[in-house]
Amino acid sequence: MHHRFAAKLATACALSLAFLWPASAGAQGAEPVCNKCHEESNDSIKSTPHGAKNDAAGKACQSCHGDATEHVAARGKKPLADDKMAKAKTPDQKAEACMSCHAGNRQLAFWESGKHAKNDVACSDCHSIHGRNRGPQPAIHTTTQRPIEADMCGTCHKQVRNATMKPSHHPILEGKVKCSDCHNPHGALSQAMVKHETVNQQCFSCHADKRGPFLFGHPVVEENCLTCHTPHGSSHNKLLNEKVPNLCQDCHVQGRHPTAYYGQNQAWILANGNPNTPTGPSNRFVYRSCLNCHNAIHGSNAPSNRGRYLIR
Amino acid sequence: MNKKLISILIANLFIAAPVFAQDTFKLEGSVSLGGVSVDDDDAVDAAKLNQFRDLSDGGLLGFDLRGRGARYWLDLFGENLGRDDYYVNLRGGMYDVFKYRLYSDQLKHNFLFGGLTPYANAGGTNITATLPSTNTATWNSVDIAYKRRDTGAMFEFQGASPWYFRVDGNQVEQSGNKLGASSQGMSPGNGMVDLVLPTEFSTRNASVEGGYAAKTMHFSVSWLTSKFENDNEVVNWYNGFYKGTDTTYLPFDNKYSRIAANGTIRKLPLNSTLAVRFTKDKLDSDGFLGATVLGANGASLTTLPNAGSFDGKVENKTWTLALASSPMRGLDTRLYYNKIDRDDKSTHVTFTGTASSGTPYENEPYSFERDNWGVDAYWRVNRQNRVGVGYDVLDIERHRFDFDESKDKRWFVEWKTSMLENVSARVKYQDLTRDSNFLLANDGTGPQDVAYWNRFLQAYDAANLDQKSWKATLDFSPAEFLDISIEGITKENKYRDMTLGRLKDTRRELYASLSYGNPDTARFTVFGDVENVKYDSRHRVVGAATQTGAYDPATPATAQNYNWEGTARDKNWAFGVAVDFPATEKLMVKASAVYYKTDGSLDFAAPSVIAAATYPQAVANYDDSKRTSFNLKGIYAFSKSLSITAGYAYEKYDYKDAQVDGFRYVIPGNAGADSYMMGYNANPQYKANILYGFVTWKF
Repeated sequence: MHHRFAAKLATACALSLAFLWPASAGAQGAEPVCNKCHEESNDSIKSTPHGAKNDAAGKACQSCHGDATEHVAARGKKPLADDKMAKAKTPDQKAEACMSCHAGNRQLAFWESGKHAKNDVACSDCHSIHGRNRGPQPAIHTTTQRPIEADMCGTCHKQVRNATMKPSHHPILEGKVKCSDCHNPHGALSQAMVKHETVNQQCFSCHADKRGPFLFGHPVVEENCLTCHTPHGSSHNKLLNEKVPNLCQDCHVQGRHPTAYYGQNQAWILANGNPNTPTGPSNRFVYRSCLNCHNAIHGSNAPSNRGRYLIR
Repeated sequence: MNKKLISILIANLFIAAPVFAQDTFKLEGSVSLGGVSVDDDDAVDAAKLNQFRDLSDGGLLGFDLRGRGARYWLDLFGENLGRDDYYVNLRGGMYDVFKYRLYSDQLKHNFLFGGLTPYANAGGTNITATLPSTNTATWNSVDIAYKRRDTGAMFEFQGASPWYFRVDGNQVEQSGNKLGASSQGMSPGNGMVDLVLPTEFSTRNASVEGGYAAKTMHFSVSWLTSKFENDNEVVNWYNGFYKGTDTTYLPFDNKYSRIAANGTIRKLPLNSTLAVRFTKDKLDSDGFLGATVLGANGASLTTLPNAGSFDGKVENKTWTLALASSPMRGLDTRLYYNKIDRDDKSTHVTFTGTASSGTPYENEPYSFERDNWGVDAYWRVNRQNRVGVGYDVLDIERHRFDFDESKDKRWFVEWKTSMLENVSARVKYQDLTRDSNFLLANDGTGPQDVAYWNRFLQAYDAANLDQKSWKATLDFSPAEFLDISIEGITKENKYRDMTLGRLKDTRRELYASLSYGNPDTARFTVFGDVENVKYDSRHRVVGAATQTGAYDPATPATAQNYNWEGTARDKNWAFGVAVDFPATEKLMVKASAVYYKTDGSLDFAAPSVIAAATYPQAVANYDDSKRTSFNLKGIYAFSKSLSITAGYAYEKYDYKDAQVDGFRYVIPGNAGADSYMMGYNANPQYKANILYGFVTWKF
């Protein structure tokens, strides 16, 4: 309790002191000359960090759109000499313009090594500096008024957009999990640009109860969560990439019940539509199937064979 | 909500006020107040509807505050205050000097409403019952859900740029219960029970990072610590088959710590950027070893471990290096190397007590090493065309009983073109070959030896594999603001040398969307998706071990010993449309509809020698679902400062699945071997009408 209070007090003190730090020069926020003709564009950035750093000469405008000296002198009759955001520019040229200011951002430390840079994604494909000109995203009812980050990512990652709508999903559409909670869209050295070094470490950063180490582990689980789970959404409960028992049977094909087939004969209702006998349904197939007994599938701390078979 | 956090937020606003006053600081924002009413009365179990959303009737309160000055900025946002899915977020800072964030975010994960259990004190640590108990009228009602609250803060100082310093800290509390289960004996033939397991978890994370971040280079060192605490590591429950109090073990407390060092150097020769990373982490969990377990007729069986306690310890080290270069105009290359070394130093425990019935049971601490390197090259032939090739190798050394080594070799080739005006297309082909060293290929003395079976059983995660995948995308912008996009994906995994287990899986996917985004008129988006996934597998039943060739899958089938094959299919369809329509100058109408259908099935192929009465029957309904959702929202602006939002949402979810259709709470068994279930996912279908509205005052 004392630790918690100390942490909160330290946070409050740090914030309070920080407000007293002398400001750096250069933060102007003045109305740029560009506003005379491009008022709508200026309006769209004036309350953003770009706008705050603008000056009367349109320093922030020119950092993206190139030297506007002749353009201004000719009252707009001469086109911009080298608009870095012009349609004709390639994605890496556009990204280079952004990196000329933002390369020092810690989030962009691995931009060049990331998949987005490699796959011709420009910063402006995701960041609409002057406003959003995309269509609305079809969505279920949500209780959040915040923009859903996946709406943006889903415009390119259609397979993922589809997965988030499946019956079993992380609360992505509900606004409680963002793509950037797991991925760094600005570049990462890990596979699929996940923030942590491995998939498992990424998953364990939220699911700390699954990280163990358990007395009896499940090697496949310890190596890669994605052997059984698909993170963005699934037709099957618990984000499983295949339905149980079939998923388990794809590896556990040895001895006793894992080798048996489980079909409509073992269900509550038979193929002819009649109810099965009271003892007819197999508890190895119905309900949660294998998980009816093997509840500790991520690992068990139970001793002896109770733990070995992940049943306690 | 966290009152201390709110106090800190308010205190800082007061502290900051005089500073803001010196700045040309402008505050603007809005406050919203309204309510929501939900009709889901037809739902037997509305947990699916409320899975991550608080859709209870009640008030809605939110605010959105934005402050901007020449030096300072501040964003304060809050919504659903007082509800289970509230969110509060304060971000701010001084440009180029510091930034901070404080937040609190909660969700409630609902699993089951109105379940039934024969147990009392469900969700506690001592779950009792008098069994057998087959009359559900005497059972107790139970809801399964937990709340998850994440509260945290971040502060980053950039005032001495390019040097920076950052601290992050958060606490995640999970409180409630989860669905658990257990077999009653050692096999499902002795019945199983659903259990409500207590979930009182707390995870505290803190990290510090310091570094140097300039345009040409970036270095950082960070340290992270994470402590997970579980208030309940053991749950006792009554076992009706063994006729005594049994024990289920929950996760032990654990502690994770990690140091990381990152570095990036830009502007190297050949226009290169070199990025490196090293991490070392340690995960510890200390727990006790149960000395006894429950046996038949309430007997207490010894476990006799050869260690006094379990000391879980796993250490990981990772090294990563990536060199991205542009040696000539239009050519981009990337060389990379990744190494992951997992060393499981947990206590190796062997149990030899009476619970083992003569078979020692030992745990298998699992270590592995992964070495991965590769090279990619992309050449922009001209402004319209770009081709890419890549080659990747992954070597895995595992300390596992079935496979000790795997080597994945992957290559790809892709072409991206925009030769046609306003059209962009991309085609990519990828091929992966995995060769693994299977350790059980010579197991067993002959087809009568059960160990001989092992020769034919391979886990698909490590089995030899040929993977081929195609991906094609087409983006077309025939007019301003209009985007059409089509994407097709095929992927096939063929597991080589597999006799039993997963043989093959294939995916066929098609996604299409059309979007019109003129901000001055009606905007709309339409999409349609189709997915088709198939898993093929082969298995063998050995009902008579003494028959000739019992454990050899090549032996002709008998009524007791035979192979069977299964094909599981998942077909999904999705369709959606959304329109934003400015009906009048003051009224914006937003409408959205989404239809999502999943259709699964399971087919069998088995020899005809199986008795007709027990011949496997195909499953037609295998996680079949349909969700239809419709939203209509109107936002009417009375003035610049006052608007009203009114909305209606309809949602219908249908579910049909052979594993729960006709669900009963009990499957009777002999001598106490009954199975007792609570009804999780048995009736997830719902129909809901949601009405909501709120007034927003902008200032």
